[in-house]
Amino acid sequence: MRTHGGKDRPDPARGTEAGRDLEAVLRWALHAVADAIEPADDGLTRIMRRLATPSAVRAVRLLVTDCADLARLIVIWLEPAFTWAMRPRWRHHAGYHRGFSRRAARPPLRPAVPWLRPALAVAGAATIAVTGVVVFGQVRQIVTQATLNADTGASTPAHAGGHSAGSGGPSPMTGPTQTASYRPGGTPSASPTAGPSHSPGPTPTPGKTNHGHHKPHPSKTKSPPGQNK
Amino acid sequence: MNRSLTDAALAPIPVQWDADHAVAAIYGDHYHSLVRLAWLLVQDVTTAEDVVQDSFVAMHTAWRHLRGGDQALAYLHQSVVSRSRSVRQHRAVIEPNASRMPGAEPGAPSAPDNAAVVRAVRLLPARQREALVLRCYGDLPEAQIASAMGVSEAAVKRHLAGASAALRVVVEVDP
Repeated sequence: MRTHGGKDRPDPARGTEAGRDLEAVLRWALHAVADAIEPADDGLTRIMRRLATPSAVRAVRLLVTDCADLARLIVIWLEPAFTWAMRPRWRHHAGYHRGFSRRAARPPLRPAVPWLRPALAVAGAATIAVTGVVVFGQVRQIVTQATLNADTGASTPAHAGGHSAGSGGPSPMTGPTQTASYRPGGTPSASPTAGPSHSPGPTPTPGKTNHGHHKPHPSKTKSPPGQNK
Repeated sequence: MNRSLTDAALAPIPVQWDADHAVAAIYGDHYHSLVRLAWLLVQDVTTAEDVVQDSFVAMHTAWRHLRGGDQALAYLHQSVVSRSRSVRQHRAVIEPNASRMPGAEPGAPSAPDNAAVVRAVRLLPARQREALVLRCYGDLPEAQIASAMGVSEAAVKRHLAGASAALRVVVEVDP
């Protein structure tokens, strides 16, 4: 047999018909090359070890390997884009071509995409702001819940209106003993702490106002004398 | 110890064997041949061993659905071909960036691949290479090749004809 690689081989199929020669040559060549391969002797041990491993662990291991490969590929694929976007670019100006001024000798470095850095900065600031708002809202809700729970658990009327958050705003009633309190309808209002403004009920949600069914606040209604002390 | 891939009919495996016995018996008879078959498909000894070991694990799992050694060996052929195909597809994605992946050893020869015929076989399209390797190295008939590749016998004939036509250009056979 003669190959284009120039390497002569003894041809076991010499003398057979040309139509079968190719297959015989291929068979001989593949056996000659592949039979030189000697696998490791611990194949059965490795198979048994794989069988002893739970299939879920094997699947997770394969998944992790594939994900790692994918992550590396993504990094490799994105690297030219980042390199191109952040590459320095000589700023051409008239002095640079004319000559020998100090500024022309050291032109300033600018990124290839000039809007990228401001855009990244704005995006970062927006992310921080949104995160802050979300976190602050959640913290405020937690504090509100904790405060209301404490208020509900305590029977002291003086603690009933200890929370001033919400849409209540400043109360027209001013006085040293005046605090804002939540009503069961959810609308915080100002009332004297000595009054019967606290009533147990469902925990109000801050910011949730029952606009459709506004009940007059007891503290704003005219109470019989002697009750609202 | 290392029989041809078609010797399964000469050594039938009892159906009542459990999966461990079957794996051990088929391993002793066919492991080396299957690794070499896989090596011809994936061109890497370590990967070929992994492919064959994974196929044995899959066969162990599917043993209760297999009825004897013939079906087990056919299952192994199918699994080896399928997994080798997956390896090549994975490699087709990885290889363009292989030199930049950690642990890459550019230019490291994995096997004695200096034979021109094997090089020519490796240049064949995937399906043609599978059919040719199963035919010329595995000595499988076309029906079993079709089963292992998951295609029809007509497709196997077509792939073999294409491979022969391509290799005839490369390999010159003296009359």
